[in-house]
Amino acid sequence: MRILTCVKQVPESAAAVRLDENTGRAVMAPSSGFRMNRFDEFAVEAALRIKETRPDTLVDVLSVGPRGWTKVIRRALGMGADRGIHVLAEPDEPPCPFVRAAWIAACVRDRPYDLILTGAMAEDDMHAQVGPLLAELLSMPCAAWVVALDPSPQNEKARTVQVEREVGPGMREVLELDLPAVLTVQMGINRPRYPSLSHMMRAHRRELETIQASNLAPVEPRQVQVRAARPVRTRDGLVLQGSLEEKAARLVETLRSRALME
Amino acid sequence: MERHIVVLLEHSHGRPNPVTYELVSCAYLLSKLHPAKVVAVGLGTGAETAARVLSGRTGLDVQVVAPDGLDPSDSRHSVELLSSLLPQLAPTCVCIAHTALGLDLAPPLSVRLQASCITAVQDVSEEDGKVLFSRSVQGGRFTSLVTSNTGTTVVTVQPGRFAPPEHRPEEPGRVELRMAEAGPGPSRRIGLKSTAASHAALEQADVIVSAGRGIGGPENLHLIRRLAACFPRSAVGGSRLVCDMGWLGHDAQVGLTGATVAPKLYFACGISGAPQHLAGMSRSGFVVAVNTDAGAPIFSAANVGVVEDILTFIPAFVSAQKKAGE
Repeated sequence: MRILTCVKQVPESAAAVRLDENTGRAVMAPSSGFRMNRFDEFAVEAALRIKETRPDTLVDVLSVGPRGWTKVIRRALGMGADRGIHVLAEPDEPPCPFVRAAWIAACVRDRPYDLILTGAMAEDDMHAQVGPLLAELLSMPCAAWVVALDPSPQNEKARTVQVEREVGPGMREVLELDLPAVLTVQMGINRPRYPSLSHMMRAHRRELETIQASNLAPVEPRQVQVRAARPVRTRDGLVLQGSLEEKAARLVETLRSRALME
Repeated sequence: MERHIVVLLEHSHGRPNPVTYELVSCAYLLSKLHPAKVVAVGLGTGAETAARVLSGRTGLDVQVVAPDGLDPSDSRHSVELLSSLLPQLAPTCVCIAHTALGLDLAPPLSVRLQASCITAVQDVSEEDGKVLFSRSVQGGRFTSLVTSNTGTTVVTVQPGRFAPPEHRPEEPGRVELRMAEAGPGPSRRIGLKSTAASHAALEQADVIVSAGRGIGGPENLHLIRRLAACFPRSAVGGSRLVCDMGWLGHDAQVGLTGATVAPKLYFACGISGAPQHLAGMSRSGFVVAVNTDAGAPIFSAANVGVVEDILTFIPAFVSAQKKAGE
């Protein structure tokens, strides 16, 4: 089986991102680092578990990003993925989901992947689109927000995969998809492994395949960020001041005055 | 061709889901910014009945496509049907609920319509003649204001952000039935499972005390329960993360994929306030946030905020309550 996992490099912590009021851009504090989008970690783990049950499986990992943004590819290799692909793109703005999906589709269209796995959503821009867009561009079926995926092959020749996904609070649907298919995974579907030392050492030496996005057919962005801003307050957000005891007393008083407490 | 703003009717058991009315409000707002007629489209079994309820309540015309046996919550065939129906309406915008179903439909539909797709929209406004869509990024810490580059925009609208329309029409709109075939596709639903997580306790509570990852660990849940015990008819809730980690059962989960609650009082303890959680409790009467991170987005969605650790704050609160009672 040939599996592709698509992973994204995101800021180490959301708290490290600051709003530049002048430019209206959300920028990283210079000292902060990056890590793999958590949803994508679960996708890589899901791919590796399939590999463990089907020995002739190859797992490729792909990431779109500027020069040097290969940390997450190496991490996936360190977890046990076989080959890394870096789609090198250095746009002024992070690409919109359609552009990302179009680039990935252009890179993988002629490769015989049976399954493409990615996280359901990126923690930074939270679009939750690349997986379903990619599936549509590649004319593959897609199941998004998968919470269970059965890695054991019922039938070696089976060209289907069975998954469960949430369709509402307390409701899951069981789907069967013809391969090749795209699956996007919800957090909690498994427990992502830590990279092993031996894999990480090999991962650092591994040559990555680099594809220049500028060599791919040009894609027009479909949405553009005008600016970032502080969230609009939906409530007063009165932050209590004073000592711990003063704040506790003040809260009790507030709740009593609103008949929310005896 | 006359342009339209299209609302996708989300329905179950022959009734529109509440979020559909929020979509209608969003559509009306868009129509004020760039005038176009607002219409609704409903798919699948039960759509005609739900369409009549919707058109009665809002006055909207609704087109219904209901091939035999198309389960409305099964997204497989919906993209096909919408791709052939919508171009006839020349939509400027297609408003879909930000739910599992909506997120299945919107991206592939946008590809078929050569449209942009903007998800989790919380607000719309206008600047320099263009519509600005507001959405949360970075876990809710920031709002991103985006514009669409295409003639048609497909949006998924975050539940709980638009109030249902107040205006009641004098007459219902027209409900028009369209025929269509739904053929087999490359994916099939082979079952539906109930995860047996009942949210009844949360939905009936007057006061909910919810725990997020910021409480530190499951060993601190006794403090959450202690705070809940200060109030009659209370329940303990949790964020998705806390439930996924097994600190609480999924019957306690509040949020987009958990329970939607509207208690008189909601305590968010150690919860950062990502939009997925807010979507489940934004209609609470009064919200108190307790968090050690002063920058957590929950503070913009709370009535009162306390920047403290629950390990010290909850005992202080319990003492203060006792003292006030004397």
